[in-house]
Amino acid sequence: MTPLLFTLALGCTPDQNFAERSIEMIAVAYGDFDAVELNLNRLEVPHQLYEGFISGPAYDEGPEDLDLISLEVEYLFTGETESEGRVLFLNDVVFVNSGTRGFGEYVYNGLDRDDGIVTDGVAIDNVREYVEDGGVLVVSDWAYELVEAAWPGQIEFFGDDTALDEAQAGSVGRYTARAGSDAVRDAVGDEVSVSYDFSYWTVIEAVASDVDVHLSADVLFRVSDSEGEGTLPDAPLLVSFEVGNGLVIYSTFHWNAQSAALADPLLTALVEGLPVAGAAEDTTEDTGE
Amino acid sequence: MNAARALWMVLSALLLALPGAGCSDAKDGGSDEEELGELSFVVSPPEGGQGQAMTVLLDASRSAFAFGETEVDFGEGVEVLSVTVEDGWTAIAEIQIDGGADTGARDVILSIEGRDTTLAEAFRVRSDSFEITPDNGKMGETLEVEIYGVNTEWQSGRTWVNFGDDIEVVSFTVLSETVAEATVAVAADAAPGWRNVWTEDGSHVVTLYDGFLVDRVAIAATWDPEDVDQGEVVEFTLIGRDTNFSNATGIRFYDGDYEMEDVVVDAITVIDSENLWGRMTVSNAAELGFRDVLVTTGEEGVMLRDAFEVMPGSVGLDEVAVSLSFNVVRGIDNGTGDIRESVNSQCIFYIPLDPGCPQSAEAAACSDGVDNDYDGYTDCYDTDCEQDLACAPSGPQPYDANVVIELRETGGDPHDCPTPQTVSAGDYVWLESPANVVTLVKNIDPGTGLIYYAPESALTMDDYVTDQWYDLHLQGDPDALPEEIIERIQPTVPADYELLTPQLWGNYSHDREEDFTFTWTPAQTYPDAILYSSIGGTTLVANDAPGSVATYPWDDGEWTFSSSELLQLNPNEVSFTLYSYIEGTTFGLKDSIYQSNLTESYIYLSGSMNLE
Repeated sequence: MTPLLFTLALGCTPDQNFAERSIEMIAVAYGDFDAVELNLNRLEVPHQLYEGFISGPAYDEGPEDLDLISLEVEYLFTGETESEGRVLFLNDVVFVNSGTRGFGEYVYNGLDRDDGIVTDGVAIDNVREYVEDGGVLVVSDWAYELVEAAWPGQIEFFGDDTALDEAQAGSVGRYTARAGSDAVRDAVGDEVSVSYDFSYWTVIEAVASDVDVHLSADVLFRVSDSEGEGTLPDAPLLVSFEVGNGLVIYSTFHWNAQSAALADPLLTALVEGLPVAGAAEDTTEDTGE
Repeated sequence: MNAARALWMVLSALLLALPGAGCSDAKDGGSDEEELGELSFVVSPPEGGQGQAMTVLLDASRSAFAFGETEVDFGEGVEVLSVTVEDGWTAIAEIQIDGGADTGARDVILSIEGRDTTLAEAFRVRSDSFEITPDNGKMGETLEVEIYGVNTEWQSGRTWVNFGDDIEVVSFTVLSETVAEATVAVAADAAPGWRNVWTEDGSHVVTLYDGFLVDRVAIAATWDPEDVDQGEVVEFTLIGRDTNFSNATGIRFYDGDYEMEDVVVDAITVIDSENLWGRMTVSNAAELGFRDVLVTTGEEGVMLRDAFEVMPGSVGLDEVAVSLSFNVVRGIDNGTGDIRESVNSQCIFYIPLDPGCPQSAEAAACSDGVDNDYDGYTDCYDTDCEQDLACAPSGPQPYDANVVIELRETGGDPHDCPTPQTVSAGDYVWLESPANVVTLVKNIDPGTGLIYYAPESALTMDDYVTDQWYDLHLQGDPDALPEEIIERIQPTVPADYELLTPQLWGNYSHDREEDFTFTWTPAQTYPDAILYSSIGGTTLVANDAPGSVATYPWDDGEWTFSSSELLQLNPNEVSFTLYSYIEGTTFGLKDSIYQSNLTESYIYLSGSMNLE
């Protein structure tokens, strides 16, 4: 099989200015809650999988045989090859699914610690340097501590940002989100319905001025066990920001929980140059858009 | 491209070729309809109840739905409030089922770009449905849920509710045909997300689709220590996560579904919302094996499965008590007037429960010397304790007038006490007197392991010699109790006796308007023993509570229950009892700390009659 080579011209939109580069290598870290690899499969985007489950997939259609995945997420962030150096830097885009281990205080279903990567200075330095050098990092929901650890000033997550897991407060359900950038507006329109398939998703309160908010909505969140739910108006749901020559994209939602009509155009719009085979276009045509 | 990158691309390519491990074909990527296969739709949930408002998902096997040009019709009695096309594969309909909509399966008609597709019997309207509240719980949480039915006919003992894998229904109580409540324990490793809940009435199943959400956070705790020994007083610690420990925190122990009371929490000290320590006493007879620990604080509950294991404790032979009895029980056959007689003796060497069998909270509150409900009254002075056994009126006094008494049952719920450990004293023990020797053989209950000594064959009155004091002679067991003779500890009553009148058989009847006089051959009970008689098995006229008339009569051969006393009892088939009774002296095994064991003996007679 001949590797597919695509040319990526990051920064095509007027508000972005990236150096032109090609996307050859894509890494995806398996997680318990999101499965962006299913979106990539649908779009026929080649990618390398790294085993990163905390407990195992909580969604349908998880991998049938984990033994086939020999590479682990810790290796992705801190591993090195003799000839080529750091593994992370071999990739042009890195997807980190919600529920990838190493980014929480505890495992979500017990009392074992789960901060192996987020407290690893080498891993965080690698991620920061990787993006500055032009890499694209796409993170969803519970993997947010990676973004917080590497660029603490960019996103104001709900609660105490210095404490792990504090921002996990969103309520399950569907939210009507407003498009906040031309790229997203062009891709999916002014308003979209975003699905949150698990409770306690990561809530963003605010972002720095150089962070682009692509989707936002009035959202419900758990104030506390005793106080119940509250509403946070116009909370960012999907954001991105540039770091050096690279880009960080963070979604509070799970990519695999969204309809193809929403997720596929969003992914292809934000990760420009993604080597897509054209499934999203088919969808648009079929649904009369 | 350098060599390393080429290698990575090969890896990617290999992964793409592995089913389930890498990329797969995109959904319906081709354009040829023949290649796409037949278009089909799935409606979920496939059913709803009369009067129910619900969200229905329509899934297509390939891209089919069109934005703005998709409609759905569920037929008469089901109003479609809205249809939202998510993408070519998915549409969502909000529907309202009328309370009078016809029940049964019905077709669903999809209209896409003006073309109709009939989904035959794709949706069913059923008469019964239900909802639950709350509809969510955290991993590791134990919580109470209320279940409200519409047109349901739930029955206690027949209906049950299920929450799927890793959510245990600890208890389920049907309050009415349409209201029930359940205690459910969400396992710490339960899969988060929505799940179906369903009720079962025999083969009748009603499903609430996506009815319960397992939240993606765990409420959890760790327990230390992992092992405890029978008879041990143990300090424990609980470290919680997202818990709210407080002074209201309580701890209970379970073996599977059964609450166990053989481990008692003596004290709890809460350090903060996520840390506490305490002290507990493990009964010396605590059942061996693992215990689940339920930690409750208000409505919050955390179940720790297999939190600790009860291990065998050491048996101290200086802690062995003795239970010994030697009795005669007689009954008058109503059909023939014959006397059915059994002579019984039993001896058990056991280690008394420590701590003792717990009282119910209600019973404890009636004997603790505390004004528990702050109404100014304590124990039996509090009307709340009127019905408690501890506050029951006293029975007759020896040689006093007859007494009509109300029989009380123990207060509160019955408690399961552990079975005390028993100890071997060899293959035999003997009751030895100058008149005879009664041999008791070791028996081991195969179910409980209880060791007890009993006659190998039925005893007769030749074995029960009256007016004797028997020694207890232990054969001795090299691995347990040694040989020992404890002298003069088991008495027998001074003399045998028999009831002379009335003849309590052949459906004997007595009119309450008349005195009831009975006669017997004196049992020579004075001064060491005593005689007792009663008429029971009926209820009191005053309050319909169980009651009887009783007396300790002078043992001179004749006594009378008066008509005025009998008229306080309701007419019924009743039992008449008469028995002589003697107590032994306190005693103990020579090396034991328990020296207050007490024996007794009696000759008991009962017969039935109709009290009119």
